[in-house]
Amino acid sequence: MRRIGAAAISIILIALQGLLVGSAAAAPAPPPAEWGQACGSAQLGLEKVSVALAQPLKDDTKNGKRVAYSPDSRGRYTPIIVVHGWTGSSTHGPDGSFSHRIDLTANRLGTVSATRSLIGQYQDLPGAAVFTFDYHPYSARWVDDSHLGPALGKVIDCLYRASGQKVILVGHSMGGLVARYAATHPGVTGPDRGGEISTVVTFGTPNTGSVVAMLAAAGIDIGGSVETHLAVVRMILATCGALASNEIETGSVCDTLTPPLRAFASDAGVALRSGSSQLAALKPWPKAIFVDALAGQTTFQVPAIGWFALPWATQSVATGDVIVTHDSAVRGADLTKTVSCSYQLNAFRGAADTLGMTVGLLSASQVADVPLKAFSGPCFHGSLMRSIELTNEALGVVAEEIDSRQPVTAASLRSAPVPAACQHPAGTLRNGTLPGIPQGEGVMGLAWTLFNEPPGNLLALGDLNGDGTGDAAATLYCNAGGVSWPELIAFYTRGPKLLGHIDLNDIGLPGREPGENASVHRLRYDKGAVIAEWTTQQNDDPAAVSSLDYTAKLRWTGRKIVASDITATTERATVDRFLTALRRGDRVAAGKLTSAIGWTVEAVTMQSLYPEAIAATPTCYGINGDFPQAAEQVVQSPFMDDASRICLLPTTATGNGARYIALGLTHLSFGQWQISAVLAI
Amino acid sequence: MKQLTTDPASLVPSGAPTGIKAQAAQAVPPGASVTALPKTWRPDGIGGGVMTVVIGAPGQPPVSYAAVVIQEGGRWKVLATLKMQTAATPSTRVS
Repeated sequence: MRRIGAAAISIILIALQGLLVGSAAAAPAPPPAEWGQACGSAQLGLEKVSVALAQPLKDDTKNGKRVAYSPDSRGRYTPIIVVHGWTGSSTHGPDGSFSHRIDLTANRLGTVSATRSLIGQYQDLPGAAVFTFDYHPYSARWVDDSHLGPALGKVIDCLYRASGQKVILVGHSMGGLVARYAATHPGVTGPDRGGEISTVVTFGTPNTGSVVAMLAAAGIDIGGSVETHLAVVRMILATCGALASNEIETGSVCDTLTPPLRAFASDAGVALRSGSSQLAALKPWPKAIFVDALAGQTTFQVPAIGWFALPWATQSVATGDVIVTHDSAVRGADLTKTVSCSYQLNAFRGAADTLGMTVGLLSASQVADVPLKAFSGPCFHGSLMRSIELTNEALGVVAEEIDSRQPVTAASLRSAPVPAACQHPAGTLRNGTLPGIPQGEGVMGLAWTLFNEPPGNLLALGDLNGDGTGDAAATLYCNAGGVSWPELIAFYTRGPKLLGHIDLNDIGLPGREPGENASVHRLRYDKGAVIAEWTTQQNDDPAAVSSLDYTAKLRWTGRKIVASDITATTERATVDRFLTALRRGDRVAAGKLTSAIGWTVEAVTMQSLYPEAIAATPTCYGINGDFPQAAEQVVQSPFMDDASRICLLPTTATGNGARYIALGLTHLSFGQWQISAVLAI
Repeated sequence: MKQLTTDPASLVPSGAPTGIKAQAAQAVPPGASVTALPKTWRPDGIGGGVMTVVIGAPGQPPVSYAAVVIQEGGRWKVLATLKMQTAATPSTRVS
């Protein structure tokens, strides 16, 4: 990637400050490397907090190649900011909370063969730009410290402005609370950052605190069931050996417990006690932000637990992820996903009266118990981002969010939903047509697909519902096994999701009955609306002839499509121009409206013989029209074979003179007519 | 641990499961011996720990417990116990 100097960065910053978010006409966003510099710690004054665009690691691979960033279909990137918990680190590397290869599963019979970390998974997603927010020098402090929540808020504001996209946050443990603090305080769009953040994913976030934090507060009565949880935790701690390891990245249950317990006397540790005033002061997530909370639920079967000979009522102890209960981890979320693990905990008296504990998988098979110190699993607090179950969810929700920002395209419409029409039920297209219609009972689908043509004028693309993303107006064709039915125009937004549809026969002018069929000539996007042109029948046209050309503006109101500015064009306009030219003697102009010079000559001759006819007001008829008796045979004339409309001009002749001058009109294309015959009858 | 035979309720912490304090006298069979093994003490790093306690009821084989011990109000209390197996072998699973 080309490197640029500091002066150029300043210029970019100035330009970015003035960038209107969501502007459809804005230039493509710059590569995300510049954002990492523009929104970095030095630029934002964050001291030892580090902010960086995560560079792909050599061990994060796909199909044998290191993962690499790529833009989405719009050529844009969405910032994803990962925020570690209170004993972790976000910086993408050996110690990063989100950087370990995904290698754990709760499936007792399964193994995981992923070749990437969670950050690597995101980096492989088109349109994703992953930024790490690392506050670990200050991680003993509470989320309202200027280096935590407020600092993250500045980074969110900056990346939102730089990218023109709402950002996505992914937080582990207290990192989810740092995110919540930032989200619930004023940003650049209003009193909270609901206008800057679309989605938050949390792993094991203690929304109502950590019960294990209560261990640091001696003598607090926190209830029987919680005591059971704490008894198991203390038992495990004692067996692990007091604070023996500082390497939480091993994921073992011993290493999951000890670092957080070291920190429980800190500001963060005190605030994380269940029921603390600091937790109560945190506001709920803004409604505009979608929150997906991921949690571990470790259940220890402890068959021999009790108080000496008094067994406890429950031998099954649910500990959440051991640090954070399940309820705390999922509180306040819109969606949750839990990875569940069940183990049996046994204590044994070994040689020389040593105390040992083993953890065994709870299953019928003879799985050898594993010594506690070596035991790891996907449900423990420090291992959640290594769980294939949870990381698949974390990846999926982010992928869906980025996908929802992509405009509707002709390709995506091939699997669009369609309304009920032509006696077919509503359904979802497959390859552009509605499946499941019995043979001989008709078709329903995208008009261009059914006609085996490119979308061309049958599709209009643009923002129709004002949300800033590209929508589509598509022509749908259907029949019930016979003649065509009037075509439909359907509006779609991202998904694609059907906003609404309109039957062309429901649009018309007073005095005109709906035709038997209606075919779209062209759809054109125009400033949030669609200009539709289509052709249908006039009242006395046969079904195979369409002589009425409509134009209307279609606009989505939020609930339905409304038509306005409706105009209609028939043969009449051409006839009127032809007669006007004749009346003023302009044979050249008249000649341009005929199919052959001979008809112009004939018309001039008729004018000399029957001047009153050329001066009269024409009456026009379809082929099925109710002609005057004297003109009934005109439709049989071979000269009228190409005419779809016939206009009669009455003469005042009597005796053997002609009663009418008949003009045959041919419909060349939308709004285009031609005089193709001039007869005296 | 001697209080286990003389005043067992005094070893029950506040917030223990309901009924434990009231039934504490039944936690140790009458006439049983209580032997705490100090050499087995394993601190948990947060002011408490686990220690093996052997209960020898008359006419019964001795039973070893891993006792989770905490401090409350300056006094030692037993939070919970886990009946111990004699060796690190798989026990009968809970179905």
